[in-house]
Amino acid sequence: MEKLLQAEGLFVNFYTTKETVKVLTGFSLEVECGDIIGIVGESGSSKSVAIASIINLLSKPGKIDAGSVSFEGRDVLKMNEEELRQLRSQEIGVIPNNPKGMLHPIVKIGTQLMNRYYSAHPEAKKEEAQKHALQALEMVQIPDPEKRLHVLPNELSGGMAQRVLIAMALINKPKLVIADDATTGLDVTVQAQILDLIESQVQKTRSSAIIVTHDLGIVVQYCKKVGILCMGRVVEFSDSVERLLMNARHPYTQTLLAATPGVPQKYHDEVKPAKSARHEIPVQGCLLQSRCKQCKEHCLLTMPPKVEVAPGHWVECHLAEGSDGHGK
Amino acid sequence: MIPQLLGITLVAFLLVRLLPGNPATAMAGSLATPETIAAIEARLGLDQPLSTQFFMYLKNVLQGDFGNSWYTSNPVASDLAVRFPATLELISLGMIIAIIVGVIGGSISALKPKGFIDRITSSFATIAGALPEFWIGLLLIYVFYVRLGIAAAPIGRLDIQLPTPPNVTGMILIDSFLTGDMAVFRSAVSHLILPVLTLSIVLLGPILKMSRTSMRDAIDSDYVHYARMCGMNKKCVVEYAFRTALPPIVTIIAVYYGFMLGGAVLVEKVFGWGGFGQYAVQSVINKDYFAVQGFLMLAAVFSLFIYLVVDIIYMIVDPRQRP
Amino acid sequence: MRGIIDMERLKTTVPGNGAPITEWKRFLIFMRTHPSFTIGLVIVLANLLLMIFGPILAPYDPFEANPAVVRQAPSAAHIFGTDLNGMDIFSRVIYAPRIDLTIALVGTAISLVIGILLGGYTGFWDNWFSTLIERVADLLQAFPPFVLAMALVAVTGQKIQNVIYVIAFLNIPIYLRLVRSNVISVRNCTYVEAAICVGGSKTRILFRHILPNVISSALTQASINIGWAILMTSGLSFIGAGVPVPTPEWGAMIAVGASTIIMGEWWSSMFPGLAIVIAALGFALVGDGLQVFFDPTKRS
Repeated sequence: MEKLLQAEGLFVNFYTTKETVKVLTGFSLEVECGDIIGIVGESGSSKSVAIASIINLLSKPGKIDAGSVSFEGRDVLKMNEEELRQLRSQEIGVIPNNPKGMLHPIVKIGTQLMNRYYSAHPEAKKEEAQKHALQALEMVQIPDPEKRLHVLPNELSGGMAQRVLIAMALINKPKLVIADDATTGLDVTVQAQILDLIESQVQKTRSSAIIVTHDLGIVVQYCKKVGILCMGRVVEFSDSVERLLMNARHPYTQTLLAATPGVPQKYHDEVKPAKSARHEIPVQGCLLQSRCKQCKEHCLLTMPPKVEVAPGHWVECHLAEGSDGHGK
Repeated sequence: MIPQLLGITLVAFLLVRLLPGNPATAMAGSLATPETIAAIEARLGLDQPLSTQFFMYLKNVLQGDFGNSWYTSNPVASDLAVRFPATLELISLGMIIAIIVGVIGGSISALKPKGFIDRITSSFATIAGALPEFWIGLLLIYVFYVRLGIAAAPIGRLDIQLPTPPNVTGMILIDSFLTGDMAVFRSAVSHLILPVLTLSIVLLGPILKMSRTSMRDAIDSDYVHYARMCGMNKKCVVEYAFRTALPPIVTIIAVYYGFMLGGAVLVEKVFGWGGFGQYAVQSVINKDYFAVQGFLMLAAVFSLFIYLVVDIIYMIVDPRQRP
Repeated sequence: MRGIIDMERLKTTVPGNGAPITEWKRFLIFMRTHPSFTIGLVIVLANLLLMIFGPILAPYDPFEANPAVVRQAPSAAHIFGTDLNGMDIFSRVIYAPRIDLTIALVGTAISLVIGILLGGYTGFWDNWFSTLIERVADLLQAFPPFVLAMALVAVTGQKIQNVIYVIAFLNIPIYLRLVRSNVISVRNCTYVEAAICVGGSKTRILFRHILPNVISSALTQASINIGWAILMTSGLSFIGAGVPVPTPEWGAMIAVGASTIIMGEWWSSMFPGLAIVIAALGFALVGDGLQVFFDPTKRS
């Protein structure tokens, strides 16, 4: 089966007048049709940069220096403006956080939704667009949707505005939904409602989803597969969230799990928190060498290999070598 | 509206009387006797208490009588009817050019930062604040009149031998066009070129600066970025940016439009225009009370009108402003 | 993604060894990395030097009219030529900063001080006096400023100090507004509330806590305003409502030259005009640079 999305070896750097910041260091991800994948990473900006790279909308001074992204077999990084635009409007829907900032402050909600509809259906008539806008609002369970079509974003609460963002993302029935920390800053109850909504819509339309978050609990509850993002690359990945919980092999994952309530208490802190939000990417060896308590000599010399510790579960760590019969 | 107009009349009245010196003395001349001066004062009503003077003035104003200018011997109203359109024509044309060049230039700079246009506009925006407009006018006169002989002589709005067209709006350009008098029209144009160019250069500075900043802020904003993320078509993205970029630009245009009514006086002097600002200057120097009052009132009413138009524009563009 | 870019803007320069640097060092590095600011600084310093040493450097007496050499084009004897009255333009141009800059600097300084005081007062105290001051300031800005300036100078008499006072008076509302809005936005901050709780008097709080934060933006505004003050002074003098007649002032010189420019005598108007542009530009560049120096997030 052809993969829906395949990002491989993405290296993204930000070039400023003072320095060059390495943000993505070989990010790879595969999404198959019907997947709901969670990506967990600490606060910092690798997550958003990864999403931006997938849709090739990286702001200056960022640049994708290496790697590839293909969507349904098409090379995203080589697409022209119009093809990218169609990709973003019809086939991929991104749900960012910061709803009040993302919606245009002086354009009515209904108009904004209709504009998104027009972007994928340029020949549509006004009534058709309006109908779909209304449906989108109903889909995200906004009360009184008829009236809400004519309000401005500042008249909505945070939770409602976030729902509008979801409606915006789903109105063109995309094949892939990407939620970027879509619930940060919302009340826990609202958070649960929003995520339930995303989950039900994705299942109903049989699309795929990537849920990016720093909250492992969300991943546990809503996702089937999970990838752990650290220092700009995915360091552990499992086809089954439960199996990851039971048998996390990467020191970073273990640290995350040790800090998450409700998880079996077998993990300990193995990795120190980052000294600053800016990653200090070492030139040689494992990226976590300055933070990992288990760092050995060969960790300083070579990049850790990808080791499959169980079917569908791999980890990039020197410590896991030998569990699959390969390595030292 | 009414209370503001009343306030303006009162303030103009009082402000003028703050000027030290006695208009009667100025009018009478250096050889006048105290009796002559007293007689002039009585004629002008200056011997009456202030409140009486004010109500008399107010009553006359409501009937369209703004008093007479002793310096020009004309009713102030008819002086203003000539001077005001003269300057209005000048600053309006200058403003139109500055708006077109400024908004387009600023938008292109914002869309293509560090590009060729951006470099030019940012350099110009920096220098523009340091340019004395009267010097620019003289510079243009030297280049285009003295050396190149392209423009007309800077001695007013028309060639001396041509008659002014019948008074429809008071703006020679429009009036001659409406009455089909092409010779006068051409002469008006050739006399307008240099002063209008001077004013456009001056006005271009702040408009360009604000357009650049405003458009850039809009383009860098989260919601425009999000629109791109959603794959909105180009027309939509540009429209989104413009809607939020426009209000500050409109504000600056309004501020400078009102400001230029009096502020064009230096350019008017260089080109012998006989405009509104010059009228104010000569009236102040000559202690021509009614003339100064008339000027102050018209200037303030004009500003008021502009701000009203701006408020309406805001309400159209920004639904949050609607009551 | 946006997070990294914003942090990038806020990060201050740290030299290689990671040690903290003094403001002075940061200023020197700033000068090196921002050439336009440095050029502006050079211009300002040159003008200040001329202000002090102008009379010594002038080859001829700036006030002396020599009828034998009227209206001469630039030559070896008279670098900038002579004007209608036979005065050497070069000497007058380099003497003029003494007039123009003095007026601009003193005028701006006065309006700065008074504007800050009034702005602080009206921002912090909400009484009828406050409202009165605000209304007067609004009124002042409603009338065409140039005509107002002219009227005031005509009325008070054409003397240099009157020009200073008029310019100061007209610019007070600018600083008043600036400081007032800063004070208002800050006075609700917790640290001010805390200071009041601890028993500080309002005046003391104003001067020790609030104003120091506001000074930097007022100073950068002042630097830009000095350029405007130079333009206004020269404009007033050009129209005959500024400094008294034989005073070497750039605007007045342009007025003298204006009458002969039609006959092709460009030098008596052009050189003083260029001097104005350079001086005003210098102050504007310094002002823009200071704005960026004090608040790197505000790069224009």
